[in-house]
Amino acid sequence: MQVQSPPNTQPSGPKLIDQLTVPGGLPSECSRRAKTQIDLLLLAIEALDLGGAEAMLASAKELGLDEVVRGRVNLWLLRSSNPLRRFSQRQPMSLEEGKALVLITCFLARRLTVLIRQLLLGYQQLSDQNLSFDHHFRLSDYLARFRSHFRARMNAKRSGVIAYSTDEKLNELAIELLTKLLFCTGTDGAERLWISLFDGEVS
Amino acid sequence: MTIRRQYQLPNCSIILDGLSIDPSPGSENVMSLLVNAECRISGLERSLNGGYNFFAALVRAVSQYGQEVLSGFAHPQVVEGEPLLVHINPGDGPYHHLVVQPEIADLGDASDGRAIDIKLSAVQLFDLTEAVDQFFDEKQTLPELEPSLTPLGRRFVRSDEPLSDRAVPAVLGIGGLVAATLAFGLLPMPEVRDPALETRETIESVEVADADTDRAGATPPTGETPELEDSESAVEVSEPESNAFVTDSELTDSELSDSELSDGELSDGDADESSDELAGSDAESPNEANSDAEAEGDELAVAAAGATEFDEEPFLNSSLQFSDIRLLNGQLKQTIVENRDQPRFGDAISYRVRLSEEGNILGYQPADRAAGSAVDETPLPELVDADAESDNIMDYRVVFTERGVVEVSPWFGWSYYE
Repeated sequence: MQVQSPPNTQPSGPKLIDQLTVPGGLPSECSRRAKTQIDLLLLAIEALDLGGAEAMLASAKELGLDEVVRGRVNLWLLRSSNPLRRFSQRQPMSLEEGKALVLITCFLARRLTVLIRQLLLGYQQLSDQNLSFDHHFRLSDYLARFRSHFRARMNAKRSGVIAYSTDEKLNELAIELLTKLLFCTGTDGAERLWISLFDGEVS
Repeated sequence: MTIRRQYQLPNCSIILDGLSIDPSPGSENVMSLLVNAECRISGLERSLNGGYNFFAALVRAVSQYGQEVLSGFAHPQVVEGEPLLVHINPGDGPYHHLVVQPEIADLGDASDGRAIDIKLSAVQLFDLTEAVDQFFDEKQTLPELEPSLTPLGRRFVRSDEPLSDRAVPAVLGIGGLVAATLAFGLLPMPEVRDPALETRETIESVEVADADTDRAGATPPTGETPELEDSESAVEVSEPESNAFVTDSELTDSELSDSELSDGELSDGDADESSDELAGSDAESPNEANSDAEAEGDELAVAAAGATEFDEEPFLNSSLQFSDIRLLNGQLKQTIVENRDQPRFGDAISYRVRLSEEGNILGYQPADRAAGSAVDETPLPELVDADAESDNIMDYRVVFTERGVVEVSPWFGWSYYE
């Protein structure tokens, strides 16, 4: 067979990243709140899954996002754009980078669906009976790990971090993030999370 | 054709019964008319039933509330102007409340005319949201219902902080500014000192300068002032006297100290002066003749003003060895440097300091007005040994230079003794 034209190096279908819509009136880069939210959700994933940080890199490859999230250092830089971080980088996060992190978050959350649902059910039962979190081993484990991650990485002098100075406040935050992660596991989870990051940012 | 669509999740299922009214090929499977919508939620004995209005309101409320959970900002759950038939409110702890008005849906026969309030846990709420999302994703059922996932506009977002909290920084800032303004208002107006004017003044009217600086200077240098010998107490009286008495040598002295003469010139002038004085000392020099009155005056000055400034004329001591003079010189410098708090910067000031043979500081005299007013910045007032007395005295010139260096030299210059 004669070949008339060079093989078509066609990109494999529409890219995953383009599935997330960019509604009109959006700012050209991710807001402070978006950067904070994404990093906190990833922090919660790390508290759920010990190998979370590695899984983020692996899933970036798996999702074909390694052009946007280029390796460990780049991921660290992106997460460090969270203004609450102790070593915050004060660098902008482009919409592309934001989308990639949202997709990674939802991908990992979906893999942790069972655990997330278990923990939330456990939380619900404990609060129904007014019991402390210590009665649920897996839940207290998650909360303790989240607290230590948060305290180790966030700048305790920022007013946004001072609000979470007590264990109770941090537990509340951890549960809130767990609920958000549950919503990320849904059919439209990524789209929902992505759109929610711009609430109050459009005119 | 009757169509039934089911969206099943662990804690929630939605069952839609409807009809396809469009017979055209390709769309015969599209449910375009809803007959009944049933929503079952685990833990709830009966299911929620309603028609199209109920279902449309439900999916909108659930979809919008899902965004509220993710972002934390309240989303409008109904199109503006329409009645709120179904809405979800956040509740305590892990719970949310699904509130349905009784006119559009019923819980079987349990309706009593009040709004139906269903308590949903986070997982139940998520399952409901997921069922709704699956319905939205499937384009074959009620395609006119679409998720309206859009970011919330700025006008819908109120700040997390109440107004009072947000006002605090502004109030503090303005308050601080006011306080600072008041504080600056209370500060005295700084005096404008023109250095050029000042030097001229000092040179032209040494009398005034002396009278000012020598507040305690109750030392009438000659016997021409009989009334002072009587009055032991009146410091004020002595001032006009010292005013009136201006010797030529004092004038020269001030001029010398002000004008920056080289050492050679200085010693020339000194030599003239000293020869005058030497000549005078034969025929009762003013210093000696007046020693009684002087002693009284000194005591008075110390008692009254606590200062030990003196306005005797420069004393030329020719009995000391050159090595002693140099020793005393070094000693004096050392003492001053060790006792000052920190180097003094600013315009140079100079003093005439009188030492005893043992090295005690008997007194000092500012060379000009600036030196007089800056005397508290020097350690001199504390160093004066009021009780020390000595016959063998020596005058030194002490200069605090503008760069904070202390310079000490014999009053009449080194060259005179060499």
